[in-house]
Amino acid sequence: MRHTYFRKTSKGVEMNEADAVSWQDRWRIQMEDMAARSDTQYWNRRAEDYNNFIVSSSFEYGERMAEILHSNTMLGADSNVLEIASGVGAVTLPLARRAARVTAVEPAQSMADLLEENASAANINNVSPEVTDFATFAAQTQDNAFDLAFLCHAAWQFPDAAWLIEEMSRLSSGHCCLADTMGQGDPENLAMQKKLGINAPEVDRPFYLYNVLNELGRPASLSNVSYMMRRSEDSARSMWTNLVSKYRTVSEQDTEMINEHIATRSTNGVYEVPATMTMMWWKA
Amino acid sequence: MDERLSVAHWDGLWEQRWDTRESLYVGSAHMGYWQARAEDFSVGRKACDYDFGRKITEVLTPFLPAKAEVLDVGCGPGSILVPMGQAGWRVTAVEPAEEMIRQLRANAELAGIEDYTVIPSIWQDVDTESLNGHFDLALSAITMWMFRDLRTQLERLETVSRDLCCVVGGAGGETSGHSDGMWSAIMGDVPQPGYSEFPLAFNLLYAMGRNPEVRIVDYSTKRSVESKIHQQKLFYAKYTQLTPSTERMIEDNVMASASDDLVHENCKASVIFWKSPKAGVTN
Ligand SMILES: C[S@@+](CC[C@H](N)C(=O)[O-])C[C@H]1O[C@@H](n2cnc3c(N)ncnc32)[C@H](O)[C@@H]1O
Repeated sequence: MRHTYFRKTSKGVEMNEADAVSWQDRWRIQMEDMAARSDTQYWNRRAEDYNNFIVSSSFEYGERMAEILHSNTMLGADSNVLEIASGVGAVTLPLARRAARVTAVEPAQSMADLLEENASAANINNVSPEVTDFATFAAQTQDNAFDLAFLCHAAWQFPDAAWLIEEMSRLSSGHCCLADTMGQGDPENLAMQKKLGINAPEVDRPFYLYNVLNELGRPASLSNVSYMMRRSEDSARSMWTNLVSKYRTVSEQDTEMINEHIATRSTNGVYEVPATMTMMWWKA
Repeated sequence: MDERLSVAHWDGLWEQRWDTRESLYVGSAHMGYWQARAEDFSVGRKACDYDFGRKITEVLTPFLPAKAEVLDVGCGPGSILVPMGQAGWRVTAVEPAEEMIRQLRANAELAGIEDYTVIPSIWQDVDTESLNGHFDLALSAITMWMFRDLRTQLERLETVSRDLCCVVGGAGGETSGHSDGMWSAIMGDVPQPGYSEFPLAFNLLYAMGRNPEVRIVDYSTKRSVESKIHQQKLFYAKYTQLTPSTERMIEDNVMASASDDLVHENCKASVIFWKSPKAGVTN
């Protein structure tokens, strides 16, 4: 039988299991491995195909998220926004359209270059890229420097989630928001993984982050954003091939299967998969 | 697989917490408790123009039709029925405590709400099959913690809803609303039992394959010192025989937190809502 005990914390008494591994530790264990495999160099290599996905998807999830932040009064024309790990600007540009300024912290130079390209193509001039990692940036930035601190689709780079959450909270005088992919796509996507013999469903990172937030005494609001992931057939091919090569050498048969799958899911050269992003926000 | 992704894990944890709490009760903790609490509870919920229920109504408004049909399980004094009635929704209230129903009727009348139904019964006895898919929203606020079989009760909410389900809980930790240090002052080393629906209900729903959304809302209440003392004494009388000295401790503590003979409190609640599987497409 499991025993329950009650632990006193600064926030009062919390329930815990006697053998409990904290949510923070569970997150760290799962993400350390992932963080090691997707370092800055990895993202420098991936910049091109990732950019294809964001641009082909017309910044859809970024638009939806910025809209939710706006309608929940966390983002407005006066807002001074910090975005951590902005990539090529999937959310940066939609945020910038609704804010006074977005400071975009991105350590990978090729990502930052594409962000600047995308911003100028969209006639957006209130984005300030900072090509550095978040720890360095945070160490030089004072408390409450921003009204909103935001991070999307990069939390796995931070095995120490508590540090990330507390730093975001320190830097924002208003709200903070984390967003990440939820779920395994649709049944068709899962069926394809099965067919390739890949049995590695990704963990739902938002579920862990959400509980870490609660563990830190920061209960958060949570909203699911569904969108259509769109990319060119080439970009989709490279995505699936990369996935298989994480587990084994890609065989001819794999390539055939991938091509067939992409053909059935593409229209006019564009590959489409429904996906979900979960946003979690809290008062700093 | 991480055990925390399994329904059995959250189910077990919930039951265990329920059993621990029940084993600590020495005084009236069930229906008699709510009968005795009806009046002070009503005062607390009406405060600041039904701030609690109004915030919940605001969260759910964008997701519901203009004339929504709502089931409110454990509706109490109309905390949510009144603001939802004012929003133009039609509420069916499940409430077993006659004193609560009396408060509810008085509050509804005062607010000019006539079109509502009361089912004067415990929720476990309500025949959900006869209400199958009847409501746009099946909701329960600060009531699920009283049921040992959370999963069954969540599924019963899903049965009666054709669209949304919602569970409201505290969001100030396990002992939401009672973490002012009085517990250890009165109960010594006895561990304080938890009762918040949040985040346990969220985790269970996630493990059940739902995609719940959550909004954390801040709300205020205000009530007389007398009413707050009444509430505190009834709360601790569930767990211990109050003595003159513990009663005195409670009174002093409440008075110390009052200004102008009123106790103001700023609280947090979690509004967890999700699509009933009946609704077909989940978000
Ligand atoms: C904490 S009050 C909550 C009232 C209201 N929902 C609110 O949040 O203000 C709990 C209510 O649940 C009612 N209740 C107790 N047992 C119940 C049961 N088995 N079925 C339905 N309601 C119950 C009580 O009488 C009481 O009015």
